[in-house]
Amino acid sequence: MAEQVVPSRMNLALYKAKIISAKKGHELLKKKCDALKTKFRIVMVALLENKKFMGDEAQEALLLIAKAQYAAGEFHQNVKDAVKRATIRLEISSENIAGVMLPEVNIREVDDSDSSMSQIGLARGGQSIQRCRDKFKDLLILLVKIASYQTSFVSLDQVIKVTNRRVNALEYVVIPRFTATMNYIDMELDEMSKEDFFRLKKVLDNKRKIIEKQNQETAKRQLEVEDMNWQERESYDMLAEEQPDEDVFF
Amino acid sequence: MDLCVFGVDDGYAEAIIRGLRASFLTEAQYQQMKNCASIPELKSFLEETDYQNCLQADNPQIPTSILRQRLKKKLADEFEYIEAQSTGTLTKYLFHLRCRFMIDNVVNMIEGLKNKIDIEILLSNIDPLGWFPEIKNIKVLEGDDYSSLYRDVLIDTPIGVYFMKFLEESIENLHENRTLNDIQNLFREMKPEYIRTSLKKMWLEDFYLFCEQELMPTSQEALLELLKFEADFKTIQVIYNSIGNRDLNTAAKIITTRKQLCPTIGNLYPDCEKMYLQAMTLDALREAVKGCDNYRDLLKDAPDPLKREEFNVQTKTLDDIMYDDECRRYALAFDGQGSYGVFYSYLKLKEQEIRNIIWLAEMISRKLAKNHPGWKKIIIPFSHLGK
Repeated sequence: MAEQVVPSRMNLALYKAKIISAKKGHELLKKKCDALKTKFRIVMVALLENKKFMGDEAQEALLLIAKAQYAAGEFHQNVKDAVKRATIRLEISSENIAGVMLPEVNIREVDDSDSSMSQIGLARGGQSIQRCRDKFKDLLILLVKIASYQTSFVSLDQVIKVTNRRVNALEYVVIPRFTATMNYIDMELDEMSKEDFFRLKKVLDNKRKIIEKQNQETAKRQLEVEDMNWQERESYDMLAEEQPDEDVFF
Repeated sequence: MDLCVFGVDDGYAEAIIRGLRASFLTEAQYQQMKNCASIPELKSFLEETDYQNCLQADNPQIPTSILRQRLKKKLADEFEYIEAQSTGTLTKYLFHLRCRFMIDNVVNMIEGLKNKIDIEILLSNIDPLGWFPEIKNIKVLEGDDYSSLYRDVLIDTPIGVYFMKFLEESIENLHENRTLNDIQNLFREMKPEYIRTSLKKMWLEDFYLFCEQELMPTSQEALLELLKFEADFKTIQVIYNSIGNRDLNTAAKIITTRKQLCPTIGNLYPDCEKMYLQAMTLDALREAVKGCDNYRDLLKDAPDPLKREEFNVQTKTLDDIMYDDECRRYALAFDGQGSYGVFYSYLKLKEQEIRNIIWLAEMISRKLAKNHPGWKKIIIPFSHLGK
């Protein structure tokens, strides 16, 4: 991946920006994770307490129903027949914890003014049935609470896992990769500038050599010219002397 | 005089009942049952007792509801056998005994049908003691026609008379010019528990009358005493259970309801009627019944229905106290000679035994610690006699 990037100034700037935002994201996610964990712990403790409590409560409720049956005989059919509508209803709202929607179940009790429930067992065991009913109502409320906590618990758990994965991915994969790419670009650019510099040097060197050569030649020619001049001057009359013609080979 | 001729007609039936006395579980057997660790163990223990045959076909992990059904079936079978062996007055008498269960069944059937529960399920749930052939005819005809259900179907059932009487009384209370629609509405809105309690009250009064008019003096003596106590207990229960009832919030309403549901026989009626009808607290009820021998003692330990916190699994409820007292009376009546009281007591004591077994089954299936107070709750028939 890092190899595929074209090393250029623009890309370098781009990656620098990317790293900065990745670091910011990492920081934010970490904060979110912490917030979620705090909530998670609260939910966990509440859930645990309620669940421990539930065991005893359920045991007692079941004993009470056994007791009511002992007193009043089989009455569950009568209860079923007497119930016309639910007296306990649930309302679901949601709570926002660090961007996570947690379902929150609220219990609404509908007043059962015209139910024929309270007359069950009038001739025998009525009180036991009423107590049993109250107990089961408590148990139901407890169960609803537990269900609410459990849902929160599960969804929080999932979100925390996802967030943790993101935090780790940013910290251990994305940021190092970007840094590597940036370093690579940096290095490559460095190299390129060095090469450029070297090339320039080379060119200058060549140029200097050429100039030197030219200079030498000019100097030589001058020397020759001077020499010739001097010879000419010396054998002024030697003009007649046969000069080997360069173009002519014998 | 009647002791001499009792055996002529009813000697055989009585002998069978006396033989069945041996089928009651003993204290030692209860002790063994308490030591069972699981439901299969309890079942295999019961298979060694008199309940052997009725449980054999079942799965060892038998649910308590099925267990109860089986035990009841056995009692019903025994009772049917005795009924088949009886003649004359005794047959009528035994039939009267079963009417109580029939009322329960019919009211349950009607309520179930109102709620559109399948008739097969309803038939499978009925109490075998209160079974009679016409019960299958109870079904709602087209268009929610309850009044014709009452008019055409219920009148043919053995307990039709009570329904007629109840109808007449309810309609009288309604207003002068009533229509068929009124009757229909009346029954749609009538609370089943109210119907049930009223019918049972009528049955009790009717049964009392029957005993008074048709039985021989020895039987009369024993039964009228028992029925008086039953009526009193019913009265006390109705008053007790209606204390703090949310439905019956006005004083006038509570008094009319009580007046309709309390039997007009027994030791408390009519002397204390005015007092107990107006009792709005447990103390007032105690005050109302203090004239009659041991009722005050009965109510002394009962938990106050207005105080919710006092009630938990360990509390000895009014029902427990009453069962205990009833059990003692019935055990005494069972041993009385030459009276029909023995049949009545047998039924009641067997019912108590079934309750005990079911209770123990519940306790075992909850895996409660052996020192839990619930284990002591059961009331063993005839255990009072030894003391």
